[in-house]
Amino acid sequence: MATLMGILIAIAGIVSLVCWIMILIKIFNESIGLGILGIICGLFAFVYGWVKVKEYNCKNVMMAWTAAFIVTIVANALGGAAVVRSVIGMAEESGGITEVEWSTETE
Amino acid sequence: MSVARKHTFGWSIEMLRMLLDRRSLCLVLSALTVLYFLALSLGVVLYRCPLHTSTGFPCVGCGLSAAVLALLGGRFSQMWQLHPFAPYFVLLGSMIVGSAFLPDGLRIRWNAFWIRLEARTRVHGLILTILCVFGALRLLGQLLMTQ
Repeated sequence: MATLMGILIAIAGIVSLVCWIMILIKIFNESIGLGILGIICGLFAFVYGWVKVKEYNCKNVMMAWTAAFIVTIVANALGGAAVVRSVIGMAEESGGITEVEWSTETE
Repeated sequence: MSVARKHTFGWSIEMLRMLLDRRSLCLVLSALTVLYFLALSLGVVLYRCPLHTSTGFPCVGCGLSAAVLALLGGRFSQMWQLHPFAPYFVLLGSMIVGSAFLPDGLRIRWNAFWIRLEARTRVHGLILTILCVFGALRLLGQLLMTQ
């Protein structure tokens, strides 16, 4: 499960990278300053791409980027849950952590 | 000479004007930033850097959000190690938040102040240029370390 999520995250990352570069080129054509801001903060480029979606004529690119964005979030959440589940499973198989003893005594 | 001086970092004034003049853009950016940092403080990463996710190499802004959290938590040495430009982005963020939520009259004066300051000092242009050099050096260092 975790491996599958890792592959999904990698694919979504590549799609995001391509869309990011395409939007950055359009932002740079409009303003160098905003382009630099788009490099530093990818989230800004994402928001600005949606703000200027009609002017840039880039609806398909933004849709693909948004889909990759959602896939990354979902895969991260599921991947994290899968890792937690596997750790709990491994702990149970190896005898399990039935209770945690807290020592308050100092030497 | 004066013409060359006039156009040095001219893009930074244009950048501020285009950013601060759009209240809706500032509102969306403020809302998303608050949401992003709330999720991050709970350990959930809502947005990942496309460059870092797909290549493993850091972009110019990588480490910035963790550095901003460290700065807001008063852990200055940690902030410095993660991303030394975090204070600048807290300032830029407060400019955007101000432009998003201030009433019209005050907002016009607020925006005019920052644009006038930039026209006189070019501080944003300078900081962003240094930041790009910093990012390029960090990326180069990482590339050399992997070889």
